[in-house]
Amino acid sequence: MENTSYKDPAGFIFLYNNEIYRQINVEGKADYDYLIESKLYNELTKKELLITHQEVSIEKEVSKNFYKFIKPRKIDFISYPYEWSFSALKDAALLTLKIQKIALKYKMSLKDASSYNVQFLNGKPIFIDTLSFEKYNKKEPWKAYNQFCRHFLAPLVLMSYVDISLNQLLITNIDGIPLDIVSNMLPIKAKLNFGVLLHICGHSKSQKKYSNEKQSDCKKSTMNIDSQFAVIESLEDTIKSLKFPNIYTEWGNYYNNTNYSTKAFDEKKHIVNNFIDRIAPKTLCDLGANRGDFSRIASSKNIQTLSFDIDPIAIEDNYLYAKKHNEKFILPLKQDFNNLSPSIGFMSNERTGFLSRFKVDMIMALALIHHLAISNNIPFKNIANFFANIGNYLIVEFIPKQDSKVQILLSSREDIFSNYNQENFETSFKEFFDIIDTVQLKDSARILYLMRRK
Amino acid sequence: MKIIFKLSILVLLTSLFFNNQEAQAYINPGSGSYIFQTIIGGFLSIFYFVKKIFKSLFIKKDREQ
Repeated sequence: MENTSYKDPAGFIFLYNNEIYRQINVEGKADYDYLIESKLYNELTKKELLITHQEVSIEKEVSKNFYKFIKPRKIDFISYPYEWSFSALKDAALLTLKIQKIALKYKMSLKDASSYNVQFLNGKPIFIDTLSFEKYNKKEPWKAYNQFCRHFLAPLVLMSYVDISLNQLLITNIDGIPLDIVSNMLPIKAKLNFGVLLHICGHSKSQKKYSNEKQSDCKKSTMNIDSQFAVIESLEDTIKSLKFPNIYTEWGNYYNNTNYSTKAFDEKKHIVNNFIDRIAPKTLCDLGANRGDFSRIASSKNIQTLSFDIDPIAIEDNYLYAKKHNEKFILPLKQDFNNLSPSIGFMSNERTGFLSRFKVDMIMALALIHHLAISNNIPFKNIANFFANIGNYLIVEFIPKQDSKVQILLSSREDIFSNYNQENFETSFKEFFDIIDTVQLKDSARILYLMRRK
Repeated sequence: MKIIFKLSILVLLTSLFFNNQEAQAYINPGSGSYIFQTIIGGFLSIFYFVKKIFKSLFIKKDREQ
């Protein structure tokens, strides 16, 4: 977050004594003051749409164009749109449009509509860029319309009509997916959606058609505020019309396909609950969380819980469940542990990668080891090193080779995993962790470990 | 009403599709969006205005019934 703020002349984010602050420059003074004086800030923060902040003074050398320091409310974990579920991205898009509509009523407008300006706090999306607001220039079209379409509408349309994983294109297109690429990828069915045809296909064509126009000619383009409201309403209607595709995935129905009894499942929950209580972490990462059944043992204790999985249906179900039950302490995110979210952008430093963003008190890795070790050929030592990079304590489940789930993984390939056994598992993990406790699940050969990082 | 509106937008879009010009270097991504917004904004505002009136009429009717 802090690495990109140099792009905005109105101000920037910085770290001071491990706290996040924002400097407002003289260039951003007029708009910031208007945001506060017009009471737009009050309305947006009251409705929990915009992050709150305090104006502060700190002893720090300031530049010539310094105006003010503000200290925004802290967000524990920064996540990115290519890690969100379909509905999470949809909610973030609708939040941005809602804010723009309210801002227009106060004669202000969002000058950018980047999906990175939205984060999740207490289970809900919230706008975090206080300096994105500027005074509305009468009769000017919405500056951020194109960016909104690239950052929100484009990935949502691709996820809905082409493939649910296509929000991953945001990793290679940091400023949103180009509309001509999206338009070329869409099937006829998508183009029958009027909003998609208008805001993606027509928009893309018009970009090509008018690309030679001089900037001065474009600035002569005028539209009244009612027309801008209509464009925003049309975007809202289009986004609301997009549905999660009807698909089947390997993990979407995981809990109906487990190889242990309800009794063993309940016992596993009981052991995990006990391990968590013994450590009492403040933050926890559940790796391979599926729909978040075990994550909720932690989040129900008000532990900030990141619930990661690779499966788009699982994280969608997890997010919708959390939203329905107004859960504040769980954040379901998509992550492939064999290929973590990278650092991207200018100097590979604009959006930080997984390992820089997620440091927690405790990690849970239940029914995950065999996938990393056998499906992805990652040695135990490397897996242990990965876990040690993220958290101080670890709850990990070892699944022996004779387990039917491991046998399924081995059924279609040569067994080259002579080192896959409990002894090697413990030896490798002991390089990075001390084993605090071990419990074998009843009616199963699976073993749960509680470990502390060395 | 909705159909007439959508047809008029379709005519507009068709004119865009069949009137392609070669895109050149130094494309300003904002240019097309600005002009496109002003074009569709007018149509959309009429549509949402009429929709609002229709809605209020139907809601009134429903209430009366």
